[in-house]
Amino acid sequence: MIQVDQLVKRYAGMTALHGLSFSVQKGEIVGFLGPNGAGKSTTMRILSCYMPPTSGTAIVAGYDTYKESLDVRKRIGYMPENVPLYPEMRVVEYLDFRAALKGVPRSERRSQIEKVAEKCGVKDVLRRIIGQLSKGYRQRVGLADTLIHDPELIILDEPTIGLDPNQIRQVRGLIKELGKSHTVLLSTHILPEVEMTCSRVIIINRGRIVASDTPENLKRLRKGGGETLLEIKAETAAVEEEFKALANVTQVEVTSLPDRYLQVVLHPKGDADLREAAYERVKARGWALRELRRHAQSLEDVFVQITTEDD
Amino acid sequence: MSAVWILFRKEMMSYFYSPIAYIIGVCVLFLNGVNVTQIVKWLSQQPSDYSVFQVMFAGFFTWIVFLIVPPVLTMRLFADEKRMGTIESLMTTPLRDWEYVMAKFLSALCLYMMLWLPTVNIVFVLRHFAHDTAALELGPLFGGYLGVLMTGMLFLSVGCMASACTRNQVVAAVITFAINTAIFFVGLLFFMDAAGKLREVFEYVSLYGHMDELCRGVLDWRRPFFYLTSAAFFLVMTQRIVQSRQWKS
Repeated sequence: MIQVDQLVKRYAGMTALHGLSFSVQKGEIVGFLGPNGAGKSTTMRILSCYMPPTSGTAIVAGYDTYKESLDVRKRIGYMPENVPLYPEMRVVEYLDFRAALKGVPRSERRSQIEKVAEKCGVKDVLRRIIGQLSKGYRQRVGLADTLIHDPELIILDEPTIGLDPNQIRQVRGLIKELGKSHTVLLSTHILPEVEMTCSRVIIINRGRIVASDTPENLKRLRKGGGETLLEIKAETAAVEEEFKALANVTQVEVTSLPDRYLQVVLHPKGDADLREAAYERVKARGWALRELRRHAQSLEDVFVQITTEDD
Repeated sequence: MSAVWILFRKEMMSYFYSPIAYIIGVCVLFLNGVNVTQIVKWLSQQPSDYSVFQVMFAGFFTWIVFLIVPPVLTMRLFADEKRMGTIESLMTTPLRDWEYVMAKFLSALCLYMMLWLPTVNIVFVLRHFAHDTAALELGPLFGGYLGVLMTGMLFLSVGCMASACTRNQVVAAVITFAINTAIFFVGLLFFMDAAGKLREVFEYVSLYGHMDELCRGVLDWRRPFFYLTSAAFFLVMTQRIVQSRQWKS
């Protein structure tokens, strides 16, 4: 669906993209992840034919975004960052205008508007003036607009920015729903969002791709990790001695908590899971144990590690 | 349905949703009213060298309308799309740059002509009360409206270009007013003592001269040609400016 090859974009005085290459298959939901200014919006603008790359090519749905931009534009639905809309229009007028512009035949426009309004939850505000809508509704009007002509590819730039947690949840559900019938490329810097919605993640930093994989695989990427955490009531020296003797333990950190409990962190060798062995030891010594868990890998750790590595 | 028509309709709708169309409409009506009062007063006092239409279409108040209305009508067109970012969602639909420019230009021109519509009334009123309708022939009348249309095309196309240059409406309006006023005054230079070739050049770009002659019912094909080519020039410039975001570096 998307084939990007050696994409370079230079603005006056700075290079936003340094030779980006990636591809997206039909039916995927791909999350585009990166800190602010990493080049996410630039890439999306190139893919949606708003501006051309300085060099390199981007093929969307089989057409070149620069040379065959009209063919590309017919097949994509793009929602820019901050969802620009015309505040003086009514929602239904806006959707009708956009549908006409995107070539939806007059006879189908009405049913199409109803369909997307239902899907995006803007059915109750169709007669309202856009300028008076809340941010959440505007976002959904924007989403409805991207879907109105049933595009093959949906590109969403920060679809959940500025929404409250409930609205984020709704939008997330909607995106997942869309993923069943469309290819979706979305950018965000909210990590749980990607973990929950995307089948694949592309992390970019300073105009370069630093990682591209499923969220699960990416989590494994992080160096180290998988520490086991315990909180026990015991003497520091005894604890250190006991756990250092365990197989597969590389390092033991002990900190005393205010209520005479100790927090113990066990660093494993490789992927080893130390929980069972640690529990056996605690049981054998008869220590009081109130917490035992393995530090879960979050995408956030991976993200922070990857995007700050070369600082 | 063609994209030009779709966008044109939306633009017309936007004009009437904002107070602009009404405010400017009232102003134009007022200025035209003053204009007619002047005509009547003046012509009933003494014989004049000027015809009714010369005063009506090329008088002082008319030129105020010519210079004030286009900046107001065009300042929003392109600048606002950029300021609000809607240009991004607009230009990622299958809409060509020239369609975008033409739709905006035509909507401004349409509203502009609508503002002149009430003046048709004035002509009928004058004809009704005049003893001799010879001074109110149809030829000069059509000439006058043709002049109104073409002056509008030129000034509005300048406005489109200015609006496409910036994201600030006020800047767009000021640039438009400045360029249009400059064009107008350059044309007036031919009243000064320029001689020979230079005088011909000034005469060719003299909007006042064109208007004056059209209102006397004289149609020289060089005049529409001047207006059409210059309006086309500014529209092509506008299209280039809109397209500049697609330049590779």
